[in-house]
Amino acid sequence: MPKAFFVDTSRCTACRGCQIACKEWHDLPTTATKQNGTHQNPPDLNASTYKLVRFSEHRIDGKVEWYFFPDQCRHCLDAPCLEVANGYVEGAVIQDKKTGAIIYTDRCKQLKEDECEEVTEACPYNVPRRNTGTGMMMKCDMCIDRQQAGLIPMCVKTCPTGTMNYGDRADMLAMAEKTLVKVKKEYPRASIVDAKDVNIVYLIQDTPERYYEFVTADNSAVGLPMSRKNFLAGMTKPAKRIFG
Amino acid sequence: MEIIQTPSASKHDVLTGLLALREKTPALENIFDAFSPLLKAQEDGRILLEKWSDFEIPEADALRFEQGVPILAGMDMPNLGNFFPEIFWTMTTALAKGMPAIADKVTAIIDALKDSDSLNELARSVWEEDNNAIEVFAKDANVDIAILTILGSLSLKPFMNRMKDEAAVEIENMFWNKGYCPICGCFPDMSLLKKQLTENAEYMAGHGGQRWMHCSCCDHQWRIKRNICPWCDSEDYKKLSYLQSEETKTERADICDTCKRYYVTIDTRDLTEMPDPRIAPLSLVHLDVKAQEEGYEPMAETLWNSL
Amino acid sequence: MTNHWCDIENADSIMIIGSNAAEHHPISFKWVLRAKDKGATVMHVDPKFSRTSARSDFHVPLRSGTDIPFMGGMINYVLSNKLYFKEYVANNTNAAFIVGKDYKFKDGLFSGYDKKTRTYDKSKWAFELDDKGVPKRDPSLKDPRCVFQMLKKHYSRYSLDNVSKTTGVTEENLLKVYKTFAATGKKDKAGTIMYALGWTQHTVGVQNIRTSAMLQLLLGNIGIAGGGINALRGEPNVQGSTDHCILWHILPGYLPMPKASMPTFEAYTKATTPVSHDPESANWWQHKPKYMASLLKSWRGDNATAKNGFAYKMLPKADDGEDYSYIFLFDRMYKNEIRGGFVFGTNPAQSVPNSNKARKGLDNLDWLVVAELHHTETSDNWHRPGIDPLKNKTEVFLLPSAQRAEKAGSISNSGRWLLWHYEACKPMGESRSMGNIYVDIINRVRGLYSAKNGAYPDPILTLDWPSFYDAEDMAQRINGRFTKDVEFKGKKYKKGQQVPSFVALGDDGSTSSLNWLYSGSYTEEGGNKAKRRDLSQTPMQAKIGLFPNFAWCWPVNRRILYNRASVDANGKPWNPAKAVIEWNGKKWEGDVPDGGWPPNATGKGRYPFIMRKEGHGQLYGPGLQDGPFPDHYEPVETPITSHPFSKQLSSPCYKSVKSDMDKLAKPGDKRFPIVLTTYSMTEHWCGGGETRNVPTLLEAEPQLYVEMSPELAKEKGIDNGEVVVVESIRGKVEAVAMVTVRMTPFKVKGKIIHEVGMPFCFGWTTKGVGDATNRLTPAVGDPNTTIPEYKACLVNVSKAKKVTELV
Repeated sequence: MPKAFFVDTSRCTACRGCQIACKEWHDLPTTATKQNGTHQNPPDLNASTYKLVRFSEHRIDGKVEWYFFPDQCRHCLDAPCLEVANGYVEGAVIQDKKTGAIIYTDRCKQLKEDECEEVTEACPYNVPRRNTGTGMMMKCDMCIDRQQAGLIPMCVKTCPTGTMNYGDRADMLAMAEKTLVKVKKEYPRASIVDAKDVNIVYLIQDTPERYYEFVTADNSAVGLPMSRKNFLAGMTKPAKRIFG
Repeated sequence: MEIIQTPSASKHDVLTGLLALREKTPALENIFDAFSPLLKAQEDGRILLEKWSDFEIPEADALRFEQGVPILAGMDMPNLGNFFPEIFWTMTTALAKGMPAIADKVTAIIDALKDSDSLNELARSVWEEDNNAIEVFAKDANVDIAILTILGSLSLKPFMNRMKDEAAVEIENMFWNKGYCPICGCFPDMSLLKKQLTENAEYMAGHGGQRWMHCSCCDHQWRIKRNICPWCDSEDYKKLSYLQSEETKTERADICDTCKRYYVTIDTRDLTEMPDPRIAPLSLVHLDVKAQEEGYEPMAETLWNSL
Repeated sequence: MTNHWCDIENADSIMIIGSNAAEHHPISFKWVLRAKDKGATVMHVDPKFSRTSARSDFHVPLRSGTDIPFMGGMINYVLSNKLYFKEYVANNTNAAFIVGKDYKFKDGLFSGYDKKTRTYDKSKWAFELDDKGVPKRDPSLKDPRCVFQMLKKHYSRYSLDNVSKTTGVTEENLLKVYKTFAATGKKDKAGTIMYALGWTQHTVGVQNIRTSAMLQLLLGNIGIAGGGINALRGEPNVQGSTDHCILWHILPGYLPMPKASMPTFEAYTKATTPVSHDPESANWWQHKPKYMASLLKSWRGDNATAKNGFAYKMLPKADDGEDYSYIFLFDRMYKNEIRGGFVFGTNPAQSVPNSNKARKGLDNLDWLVVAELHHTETSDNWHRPGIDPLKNKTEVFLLPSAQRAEKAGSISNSGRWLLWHYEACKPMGESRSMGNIYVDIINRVRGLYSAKNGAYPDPILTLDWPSFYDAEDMAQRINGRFTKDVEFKGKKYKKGQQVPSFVALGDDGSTSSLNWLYSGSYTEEGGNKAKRRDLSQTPMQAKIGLFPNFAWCWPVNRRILYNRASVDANGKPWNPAKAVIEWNGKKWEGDVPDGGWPPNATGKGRYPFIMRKEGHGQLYGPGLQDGPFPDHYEPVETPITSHPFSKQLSSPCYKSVKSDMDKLAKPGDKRFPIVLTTYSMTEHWCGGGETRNVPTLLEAEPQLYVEMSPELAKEKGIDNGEVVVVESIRGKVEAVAMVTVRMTPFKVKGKIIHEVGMPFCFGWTTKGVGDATNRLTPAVGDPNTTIPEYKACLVNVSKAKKVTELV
């Protein structure tokens, strides 16, 4: 049975335990950051940051709202990045059958820089990043090593608030629906994001654009429903290159 | 007293669980092959006993109970009817199948007792822990007393399991902090460290686990303090520690240097699947071996940690 | 805390004021949200919208330093709308007491004020006594000189209009909070107030907290489940260190510091032990001589006897009227009056106000010992930016100290629970625990004294000092021991055995105890009770989440203080659904009562507030330095030049020091029109000395920032993320502008006042993160505690022309 996360942002307090634990589990280096007018740091996902808590704040009708979004790869059911990358290098990206995790293999290093850019562009959530040193494409691997050892992913383990939940996909979807009913009482604009297309299912308290640009595929230029058609079209792209 | 669901017990049957475990730890194939038939027989017994209701759980006396007297302590053996012989024969066949080394002794028991109508007397002797009566019974039938006793208790286990569910309801709101089972009084064959689960919207939840003991006899699970020896109640932290293998940090043998006892534990807090405590101890025999090599005795003797 | 963490879940209304609980006391929010789930309203009153506000029902922005008007307005609202709990107020508080003729209040000043010394003659505020020496009372509360009438008069000036135009809170917001919280003045309702440094760090810090005591007494919220005044203490053991005398003016167990005017043990006990002539008043502090004698015994063992006044004479004594707190300590250091010192687990070069001066003060030391995990701004002060290290004379010793998990011992949490923790791993390298370091140093000093016989060796050599540090032994000494064979309550104890409780402590030298409040924590019968993790409870205790067998709580395992106020005269709880204690006809059930006396209707009872001389909750508090009723005074540095409550702009008694570096901006100073408040943050620990060395934490919060409203940023032409200079009259600090809607401009007397906020955790020893925010704050303090006014001062903000501290 595929696994899924349910991320209930209405319980998130932006303690950033997940962001830091992810880094420590994957032994990722820290980057020299600067304060740039927000608590969100590093400012964006990067090749050594797979998980980032995003902050957004609004004064709506005189009332302040402060939203937190622990961002990461959504592990799409049909991942556009997989299709695009594998179009260039077979086996660069694989999907683990047991967990549904989208995994970038070492073969990603064979992708050229502009091909990597295409992979990132194909992602409706703007997640993959290229390590300019090694040439490797980097992003959340759903802690596949831990899962294979029967352990829950690190961000879920660390979360002290119940924001990060992990389990069988069906259970997570049920949990999401149940929670939404509760959250909607206080936040009528709350919704579940792209549940049918992804394995990392977010509940947000307000409209996606109040969080950030790439919360939902609908919002991005790529768009998941579109991308399905797209990647069939996209499939021909590398072919064109090879033959043309 | 808190009652928790054992999701694994309802979700998966024993055999599926065994197969999965066997696949996970191929090194222990022999163990699984030896004990699977018995565990399967226990499961069959449980299913059979869904029809059995000829028993009455004693009313719980809170004062007595909270002082450490299990609810079924001192209870007279209920009428087991024809269920006992049926389970006894299933168990006998399973034992012979799983352990060829003692198959001839088991066959001797089958031969000697196949026409006996006094099997429920054997049950009574085991229930009352009347060793003399068991000895007489074994002598009369001219069979191995040790194996006969094992078979007797194995066959009673499904009955204890059947009564457990109703007994658990009786003690739901009472306090228990002993290392032995609040229902049948037996010691645990393993413990599980579990994450705290709560319906409350917790802002922050601690990551410390709760220790749940699993009864070696009736399968009941109860919670006790983490920092106490279930056997001797010692809280001397310098003498409470655990043994574990380098690879699997979620499995360990908790040892007490005050009483030199041990029990095996699975820390489930980080696990993706909740282990089934009815079969999980089988996958931990390497820890039994390690603990016993270092001079510790198990809290509950089970077939796999004593044979 | 009068109550404890888990008890917050019993509240019907929660007011978080002067605290950012969700970010700085995250676990408290577990209980806050449990209460919220059960229907409680959670309100956050604070200048900044924080994560606490985000998880509360609503946030009310308030200008820093105006908590007394806010709370005074609520007291006025409760009184004028008759929302107080009448029976409770009449019986349990001093509302009925008649105030003496000498008490007066005029235009912000109470009677007895001496302008020269900036102090009050408190004898002018005394109660009128009857011929037995007991305060006169009018139970009808009608006498114009009774506390209740005085209170009404005093707060009648705190109208919605006056409060609103001082605090910057709209009248609508004021009423929203007042209505919600005042609704807990009913028998079956409970309201709790949670506060932290946002209330204490003001020149009116103590009076801020007094307002909550008064409000909670009026509403009958003290002593009950889900009520109380709950101080959220910082570092897990701030409570423990306060109990054990981290402050200069108290000895362990809140015994007063000996003073020069008290030369003998008798003089000390006479001057400090209150006497009550009311037989119904327990006046618990009457036992002070026993606690002091036992403390002295535990310090010097057999060298302290009743005959030699328990060697009291050997103690150092504070000069009367002198102040030895941080502000004054660093002033003396700056004036070259101090030669050397020990700094354990604190980073004053970073955390003392006006830290430019503090740093210069440290330069004057010949020697300095710092025990720390890492190098800090204090240990490395001698080579700070802009200083020539060759010209610095201080010899610095940096002792590596063990991290929390590397040592065993107890901590006391905010709810007064004593909790044991074990050593999880051995200290790294040569590092040692503070206890270990300290015991060994003193042993070496003792060795030197006995070998070389210094000027006055007796105080050092007569100490009952352990040869090595052992946390378990120390816990036993804290509890106390019998020093001879005795019989207590029918039980025989041998010399050297643990005392069972502080009731066993004597003033005859028969007992020792390092802290009477902790007597009963480590007994012959119960062992080390800090280790208890037993969750058993009675059904009555279960109703309010009280776990008497989990850990141990001072005093005598009483979880809710003043709980005798939660019952009526017959011992029946006001709210049976959440009963704290109840009289069953023979004894009390539930929590440990404040004294085992039967209910007051029997005539054998005692008033519930046993720590007060008169046994009553103090609506009128004649013991404080700055007045019996809190009144509004602006912070020492204030953006306004007058307020509607009196002509007395700032506290007439606030403490300050004088030097060329102690400059203060004038009220309404045009050069510094903006209010600055300072605070902690989740990602960094206090001054940041530890956490700035954790790369992942530094990555998440890398540099000093200043939070400001978009309105102010626009006015100043500052863009989000730009480096700005924040400047006070004392210093300049570079910070990154964080322009955020979470900061609000305040409308004060029709004028817009801006406020900015900065964390104080960044220091120069971590490259490029910025340097001490406290270079901006003034060294002025509360008249009672001398806690500095970190929460409100005046600054200006401008774009940085050149960036040096943040690169």
